[in-house]
Amino acid sequence: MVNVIELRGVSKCYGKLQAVYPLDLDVQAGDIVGFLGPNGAGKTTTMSMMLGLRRPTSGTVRLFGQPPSSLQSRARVGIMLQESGVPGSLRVDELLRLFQSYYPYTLPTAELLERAGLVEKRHALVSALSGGQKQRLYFALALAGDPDLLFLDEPTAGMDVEARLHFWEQVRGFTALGKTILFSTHYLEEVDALATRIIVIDKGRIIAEGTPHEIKGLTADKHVILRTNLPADLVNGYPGVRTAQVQNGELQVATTRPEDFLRRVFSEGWEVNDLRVKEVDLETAFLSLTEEVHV
Amino acid sequence: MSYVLPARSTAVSPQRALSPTAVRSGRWLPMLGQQIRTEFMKLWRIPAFSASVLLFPVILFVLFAVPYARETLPNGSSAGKYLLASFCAYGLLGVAFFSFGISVATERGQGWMRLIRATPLPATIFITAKIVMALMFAVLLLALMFPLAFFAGHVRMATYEWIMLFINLVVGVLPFSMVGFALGYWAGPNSAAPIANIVYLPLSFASGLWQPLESLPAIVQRIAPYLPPYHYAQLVRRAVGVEDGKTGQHLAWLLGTALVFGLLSAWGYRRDQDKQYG
Repeated sequence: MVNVIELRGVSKCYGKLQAVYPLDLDVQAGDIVGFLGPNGAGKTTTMSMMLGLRRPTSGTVRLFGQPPSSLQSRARVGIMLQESGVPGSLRVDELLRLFQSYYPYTLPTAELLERAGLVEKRHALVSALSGGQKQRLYFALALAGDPDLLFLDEPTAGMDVEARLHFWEQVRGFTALGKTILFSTHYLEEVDALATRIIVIDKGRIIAEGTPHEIKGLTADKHVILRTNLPADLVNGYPGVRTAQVQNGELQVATTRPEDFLRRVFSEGWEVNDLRVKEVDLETAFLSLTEEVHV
Repeated sequence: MSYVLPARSTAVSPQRALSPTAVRSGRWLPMLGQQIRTEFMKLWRIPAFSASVLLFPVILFVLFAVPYARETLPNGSSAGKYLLASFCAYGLLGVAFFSFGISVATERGQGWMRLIRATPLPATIFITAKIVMALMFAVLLLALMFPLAFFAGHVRMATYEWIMLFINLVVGVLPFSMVGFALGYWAGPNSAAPIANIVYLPLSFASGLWQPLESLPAIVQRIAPYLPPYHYAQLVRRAVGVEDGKTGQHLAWLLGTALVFGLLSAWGYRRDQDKQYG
């Protein structure tokens, strides 16, 4: 099986600045890859090289086994970039017809408008669209070629909560057909909900890679939250406890083995009220990952 | 006709995962048609462009040419034919400068060009559409000027002269569209329009596009033969028999203009590509 995306030793220098260190990456058909990293981490540069919009300083990129700038691979790729700057004097349906004409296969105009939630705006000039509506137009343009591989660079930036929900619903429907998606976002709950695979990039290197579950597992902690008369200082000495602190009158304990901690609390007879055990959310995991590298 | 090649084998390129609703598209003729339509509407709907490029030459023609159109020039030919040829050359020079220069300069470096570049649109169709768009504006301008000259200016000439005038004018847009391209690739997005304006008017004046060269100051008369639009105008006037210059020399000047500015455009394009996509 040929990889949908294949990077071999791909790096990028801008003058003396090393934006991306040599990296390898394989993405298979049907993968939904969440691309995470702080601003300036090299996400956009890496995505640009995957799209054939930037030439790597070293290494090779292949989409469906072809160079990303070849018409064969471009015919199978849909992209949504930040700040696409579509000319304001064109109408929504005109732009859709234009993009539909570019690709060997296309989706019907009505379906594109429906998926992007732009049915009422189909005759509107681009200059009359709101920021969120423009994002939805870019989504419709990305789908025009019924792409096998969809690149979404921070697609929900500028959308309200409702629009974001509708957007991801549409994306999910698209994955059911065996299509591959690579997206970056600042909203970590979006990655958690959708991605089958996460790649964390920081300072031009891949620092973590795996399923959302595995990424969260890298920090290994679970949070135990309870009301108790047990002092936090004492808990900090327990084995397996990473941190313990009091917040809003509740004791918060980060530990790899919540069962051991609770067994000890009960056996020592401390008061226990409002007990909750929470898995670490991706945001916490992500922050601890990138912070470790920064230190 | 389609540029799409069937996948050679699944080993090279995995099968497509098409939606059940997908339909065939991507044939080059509809693609070119859509691209031309887009390029045209994009500028047509901007009054600052369409009004100034189409209406200014018409207004100038009405004010400064129509009143003198029935007169006879010292060499015995019709002033109306002379002025029509000159003002049309002036108008089409503007079409070439502005339609390319400004659209290329403002789009360059915008997300829009990145988006287009990431689609399978071939560069040849992209450039062809831009040139056809400029020719459409050129034809549109002539469709205003010719009837105006006929009815308001009472300009009369043989049918083949109208046709030769039309052909000479439209073909002459091509070398100057190279000037427009070069401007688009070398000027910044905000400076392209001012530069085009600053160059356009004095150049038109000094090339004798508004009035016969003989009525211009001596210094301008000496400079004019070194300006490409002068040769464009002479060629066009020759086509309707109001000037008897050396066709070969004028053609050489226009070809030289196309070549020099074509190379400048290609160089500017490469420079821009390296900057944007290198």
